[in-house]
Amino acid sequence: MARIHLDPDLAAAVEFDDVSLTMPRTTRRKGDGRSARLRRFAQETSRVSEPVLEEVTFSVAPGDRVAVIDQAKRGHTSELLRLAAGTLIPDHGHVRRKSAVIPILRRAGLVNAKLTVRQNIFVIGILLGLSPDEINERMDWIVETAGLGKVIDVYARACPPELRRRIVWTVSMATQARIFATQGSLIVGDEQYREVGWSHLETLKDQGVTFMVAGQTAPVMERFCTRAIVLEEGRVVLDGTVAEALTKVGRGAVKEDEDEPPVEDLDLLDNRAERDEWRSD
Amino acid sequence: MSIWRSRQALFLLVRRDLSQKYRKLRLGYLWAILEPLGMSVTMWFVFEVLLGGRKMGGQPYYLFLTVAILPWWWFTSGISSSTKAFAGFSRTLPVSVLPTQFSVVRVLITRTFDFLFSLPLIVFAMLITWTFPGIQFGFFFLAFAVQLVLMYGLSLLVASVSVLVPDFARIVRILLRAAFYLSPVLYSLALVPEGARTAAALNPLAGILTLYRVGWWPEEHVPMFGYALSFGVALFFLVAGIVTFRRLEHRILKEA
Repeated sequence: MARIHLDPDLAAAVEFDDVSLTMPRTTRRKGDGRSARLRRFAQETSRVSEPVLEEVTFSVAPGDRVAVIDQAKRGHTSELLRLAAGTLIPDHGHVRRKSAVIPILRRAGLVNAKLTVRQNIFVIGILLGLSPDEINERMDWIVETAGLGKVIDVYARACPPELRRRIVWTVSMATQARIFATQGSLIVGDEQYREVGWSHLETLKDQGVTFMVAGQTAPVMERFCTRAIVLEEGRVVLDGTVAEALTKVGRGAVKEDEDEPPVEDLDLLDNRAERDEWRSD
Repeated sequence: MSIWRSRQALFLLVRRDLSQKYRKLRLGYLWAILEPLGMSVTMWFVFEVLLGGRKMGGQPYYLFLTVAILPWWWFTSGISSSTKAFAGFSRTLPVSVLPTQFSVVRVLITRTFDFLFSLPLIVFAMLITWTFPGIQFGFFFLAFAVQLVLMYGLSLLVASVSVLVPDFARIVRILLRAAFYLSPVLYSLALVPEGARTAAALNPLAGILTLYRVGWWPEEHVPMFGYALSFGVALFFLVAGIVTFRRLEHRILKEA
């Protein structure tokens, strides 16, 4: 039943074989007028299927640090990373992975404001496949690395986005995975914390950990990545060095991806519907 | 199975869900009891005191009602919250390396604990009516197991479809209300006319609710054929749920 299959015998770390993917998009009418609002209302549920990736084939060798760039900047890199991690299933083709790929995608948004920082560390760790015992074991490391000593039992509501990103980043690193797929700031936090982050990444680099990164600035890519893949209209148009990719896309064109704003968690056990039913019975 | 491998995590999250749910309320855990208690007392008052002329089922009726209303409450709350099982976790699905059906199982187990917490109500009903079960009480556990299987299948089915068709949650609510009156919660299956009994047994809840009751009222037993039909349909829903989920899984993931 497992959604994510691992191929320990695979030579490559991650392999995309003729992968195609479409994603549903909701079309919305723009404008403020009454008729625009009405149309928007009527169209709200109309969905179109949009091709995102077409016949993408490449393989990432163990130890590679690949920058993924979407030339059109329509954000299709996150779908590629999700496919790599296995949290999306391609419509066509196969994705194979040698070991678990840890996705680091929605950073601040993943932290639940209603829980304490410690509880959040548990929940995020569990999502990333750690067992509660492993989290307990690595708790000290997480607290120390992310500098959470003072806020560990504070509700995450009080944490600034910067700190939330740091929590997610550190917990992801605590998985000690051999392959990471990250989007947005690879290095998070203020000046001081960036140094901690870089030194950790340098260690992972020496250990031959594989990275697929998207949404980075040019200096970060130049410092960290060994290879770059450029996508355009869902196809791979360039697979080469970072310098080649930056020449093709233009240095100024690559920006750091913004986080989506944090939202309050949906109340899972909100049993309002049942209570309505109870009343009418 | 992969769910089994993440059981530790599952129970941690279920514990969190439960404590979060009950901590918010002043009466806390008592709500697990008060909601079904309110329902059973109302039903008892209407059907035994106001309309007491015709006997609807075994005596004492209050106990007869309570034994079936608790599993019914579990069923209806479990299925209706499964409509939100995937939508409620849409933010975590893109990064979660856990099996996709994890959130359905999480909702189901949380609801199952609610049911277990409400069981003292049956003891309470037994004490005030001073009626105690015989040896056939063992069937209570069989009924529990079959209901769990049925609910797993139905939850998967309902959760998968309602991600893709938002209207489905409302349809489910109407169906659940209909199922309340079509299932032998308020009445005994023996009251169903002879000709309609096979049709009634097609409802998996008919067999399950009857099994819950036979410990106190052995005369409630339906023929073997009735159970086979009920449990066959429950099994059918299990298979249908798993098949539907597998076919829709890639689309569910895209919605996140």
